[in-house]
Amino acid sequence: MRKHIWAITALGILCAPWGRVSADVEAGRAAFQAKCMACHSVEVNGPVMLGPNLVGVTERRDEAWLIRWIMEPDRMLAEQDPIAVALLNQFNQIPMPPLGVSETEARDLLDYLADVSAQASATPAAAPAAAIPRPTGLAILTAGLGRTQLAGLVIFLGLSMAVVVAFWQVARSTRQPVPTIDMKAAYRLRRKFFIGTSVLVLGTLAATLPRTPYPDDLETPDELVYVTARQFGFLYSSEPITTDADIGQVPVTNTLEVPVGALVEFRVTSLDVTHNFALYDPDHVIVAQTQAMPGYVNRLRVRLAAPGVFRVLCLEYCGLAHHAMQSTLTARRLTDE
Amino acid sequence: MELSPKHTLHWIGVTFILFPLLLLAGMFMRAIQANTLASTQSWFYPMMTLHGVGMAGLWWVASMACASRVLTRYTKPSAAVSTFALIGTILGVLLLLASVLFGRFAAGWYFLYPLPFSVGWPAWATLTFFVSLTVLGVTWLVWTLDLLRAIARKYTISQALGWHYIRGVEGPDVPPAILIVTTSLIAAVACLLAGVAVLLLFYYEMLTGTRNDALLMKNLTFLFGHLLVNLSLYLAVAVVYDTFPHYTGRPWHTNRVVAISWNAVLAIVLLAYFHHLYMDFVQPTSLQYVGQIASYMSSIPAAVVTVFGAVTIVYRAPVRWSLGFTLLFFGLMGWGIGGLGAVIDSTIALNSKFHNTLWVPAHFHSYMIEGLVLMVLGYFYHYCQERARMPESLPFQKTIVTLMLVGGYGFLLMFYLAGAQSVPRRYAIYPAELSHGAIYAGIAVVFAAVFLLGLLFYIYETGRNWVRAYGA
Amino acid sequence: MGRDRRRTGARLAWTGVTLLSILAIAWPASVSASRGDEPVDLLREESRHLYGPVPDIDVQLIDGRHVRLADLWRDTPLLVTLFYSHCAGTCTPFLRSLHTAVGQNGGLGSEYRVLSLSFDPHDTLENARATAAAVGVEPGDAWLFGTGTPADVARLAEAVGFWYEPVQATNQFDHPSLVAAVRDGSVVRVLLGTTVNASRLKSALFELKGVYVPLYSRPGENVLFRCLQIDALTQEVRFDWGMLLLVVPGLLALAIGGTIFRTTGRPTSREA
Repeated sequence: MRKHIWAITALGILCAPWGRVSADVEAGRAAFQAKCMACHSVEVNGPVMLGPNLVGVTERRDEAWLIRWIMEPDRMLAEQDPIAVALLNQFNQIPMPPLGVSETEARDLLDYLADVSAQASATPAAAPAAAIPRPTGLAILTAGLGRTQLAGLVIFLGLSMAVVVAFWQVARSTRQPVPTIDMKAAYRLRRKFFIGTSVLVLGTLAATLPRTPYPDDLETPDELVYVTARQFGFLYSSEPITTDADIGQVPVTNTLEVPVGALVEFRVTSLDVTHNFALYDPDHVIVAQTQAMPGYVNRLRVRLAAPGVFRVLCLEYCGLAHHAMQSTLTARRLTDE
Repeated sequence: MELSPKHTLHWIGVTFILFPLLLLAGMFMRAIQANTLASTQSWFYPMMTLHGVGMAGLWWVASMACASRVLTRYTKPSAAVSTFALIGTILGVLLLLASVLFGRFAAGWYFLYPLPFSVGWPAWATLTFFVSLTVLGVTWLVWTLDLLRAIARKYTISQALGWHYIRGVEGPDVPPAILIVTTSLIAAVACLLAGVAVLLLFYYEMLTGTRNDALLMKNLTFLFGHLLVNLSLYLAVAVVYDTFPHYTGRPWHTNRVVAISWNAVLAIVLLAYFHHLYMDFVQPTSLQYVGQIASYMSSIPAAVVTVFGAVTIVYRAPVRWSLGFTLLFFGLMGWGIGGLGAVIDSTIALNSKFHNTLWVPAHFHSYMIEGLVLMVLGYFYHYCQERARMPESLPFQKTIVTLMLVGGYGFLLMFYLAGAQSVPRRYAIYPAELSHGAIYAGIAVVFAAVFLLGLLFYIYETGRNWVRAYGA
Repeated sequence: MGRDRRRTGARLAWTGVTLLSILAIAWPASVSASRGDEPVDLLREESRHLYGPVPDIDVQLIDGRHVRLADLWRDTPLLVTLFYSHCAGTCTPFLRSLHTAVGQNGGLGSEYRVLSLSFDPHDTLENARATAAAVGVEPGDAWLFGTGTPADVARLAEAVGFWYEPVQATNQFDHPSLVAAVRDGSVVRVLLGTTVNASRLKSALFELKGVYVPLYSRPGENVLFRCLQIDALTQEVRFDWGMLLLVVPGLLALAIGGTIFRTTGRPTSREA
């Protein structure tokens, strides 16, 4: 089963397994994974992340332009380079940051991108992923509403209505004023109210405290996935990544597939600021989440009961492109292979 | 020098300028989320930072201003310190504005470590932001200590905290406002010290490059941030305790139960903030439990003692429903409703589904705009009207309250529904599969506009009194 | 008035003590709930096989009994090592260092078992017995030596990340040295290296008991105050100064509040 998970993800791994790979291409791959992969994909029909999908970019743009753009995007933007400005507008005003890429490194990157693009055109293109349906009509009222969420909402609205009715009654009562009210009766009522509230509070505490999302150490997961968050993307790997330097050295991927029904442990950490790893099921309901904090590893265990495409979103504000930090995880039956 | 009416009127003036502007910043964010104003989308996160720090800070100083005014009934807060606090606050706000408007600083109102050091804005913007917070923090600490000193001039600590009621021995009558303000101010010292500690650690890293522990920084940041907002509410509640009898003609005394519950609050309030870290699975689990227990427990003194007490004061009392009293009354209701939303979110088992969705702004906006804001605005009107005594038109005032309630609760409902429907908070643009978030955002803008209209009417109504009181 | 103040001081002290005791109750509980090893300690090759299933193979022990691995890990966690008896290199020294490390961690008891299995198809029970004697392990239930069929041993080796390659010229095997910690049929920890040191074994033993510590420091990075710290020797997690820092604002606020009330003069101490 463990082999299986990485065999599948090998499809998404940017390290191309075909044929002889030159040293430049190899260096370019390592540089791409370390510096570009958070924002760009290079897969045919791969996701458009923060920046454009780079399949075929070496054919689309002039080489000299690309090299300068990779090395000093900030200056080109400042000079109002027309392509740079067009890209900025197309990608939600998120500028490409200067990442300290040397010219040699930039050339290696282009070798790698040309290599990947050449292989991509040689491979028959897979069917493009279907567009995600937007909820419309009445579906807007139920989209993303899970059972737990519904329970929370109903309890909240119910109790709130009770508060509103109580305040309304009190407000109406002032139409028939009396000079004094029976304080003894009021205190008796308060006593009942106190006991009622306490029972409710203690009862709910007793019922909910044992149900935590924290991993049970005596339960052994079936699968282990290392999740590394950074601005503004998620990397998945079979081995821990604790520094930027680790990224080029281990097989990493932007997209992940896990077997249905397996208990998967995600060991989630971050390379820069605090992020969050939240799993949304195919109905767009939050299933589980944990924070991704630099210096710490949070273990989130999830069993995905049904197959489908799960979205991964960052639920901790992490910078100017926070809303664009997302990824995909597919739960697949073993027999689907 | 005694605290003159002008000191309070200045704070009211600052609120009347800043609140509509910060409210517009909030509406701007919801409008962006509704996929309008696309060309200004890059301003979303800077505005979010301004709106967050601005509102948290504004309602803290507004509550402090109300509390200072109430204290003058019993003791003498320093006028010089109030002026110092006003100048410090304005200076801090100017620095904040510079950081956000010119530097596009956008690390959010709780500037979670190490985000302020992130790329996206210049280093000077980060530094200016921290200097702004330092100015505000130090100013507010001095102000807090002065109010404590003022209380200490009249009461011993055991009297101020109502311990003689608890022990059942003879002692002076201590108004509930003194008890609640003392409790809140002691906790506020802890809050501001935690803020100072976070800032010192940030400065130390800027100077030496020594890294900080992200978990520690998050704990300290929420100890500061959670307390600041929570204590603003408690200060406003103290003002409600003090002002209600004026309208209902029934006294609101401190007694044993009131004393016990507010002393308990002092301990509980320092421990509840752990609920902000539930999704940090590395945080020791016992602290997570402490967070839920403390959050639940804090509802008992609030609901049983304060809300119930308010009800006994108002029930069948000969009340004239003028703007001041109506806002105070509905402020308590909004506090209760926001508290319910908060208790639901502070349940560890539910937090996995609600954490950092729009449910979070839903509940804190409830106890802010329909709780704290109404209480403070109610008191501001009460104070200005008491001094200027301009004639009141009750139907007009009813319209104001109706607009603020309908607009406010409609706005909040959009947050609650979207939160329960898994829409994340703090997203400038919603992904396609969560596009229902954009629809709720659009409706929320309309409701917010209704609230804003009510607010402008309110400012007109109170402003008339303010002008006359200021001229007197 | 003086008495009042003394009382006030005493009450302040009690409030502080109460706060501290709440935290004191919270802390030890959490420490026991979270200790173990540091992920950065994991070599890359050690993490590849974590949580992978271990095949339930048949093993013949040196006393002649046949057991299945599942029977061994059913009631007690298991440490698995692989060796061959005529190894001229690391096998025996590695097992000896494991023996020493086990001794330094409280010795063999009821908490876990060790199974040393020969991967050489030519090894007999007699050969395995000789290795046990060379390592200095007392024959018994806590440390088992044995052999298995070549196919079974190969499956087990693959599951824990072990490999071996005969070298014709020397009549030896090329192979790594490792200990795999197995709980309920899954690998929970792998220790690679020519020797086993006591603290790394201790961390594996924690993991066997199901405890894990999720914090790491990056190379060359100084951190001012940490919330949690790992004791390098015992691999236990304890609260560091950072956590104490969280109590400081509260205690300081009480002290400052108390001081203000003590030092501020009152016109009259009581008002009726």
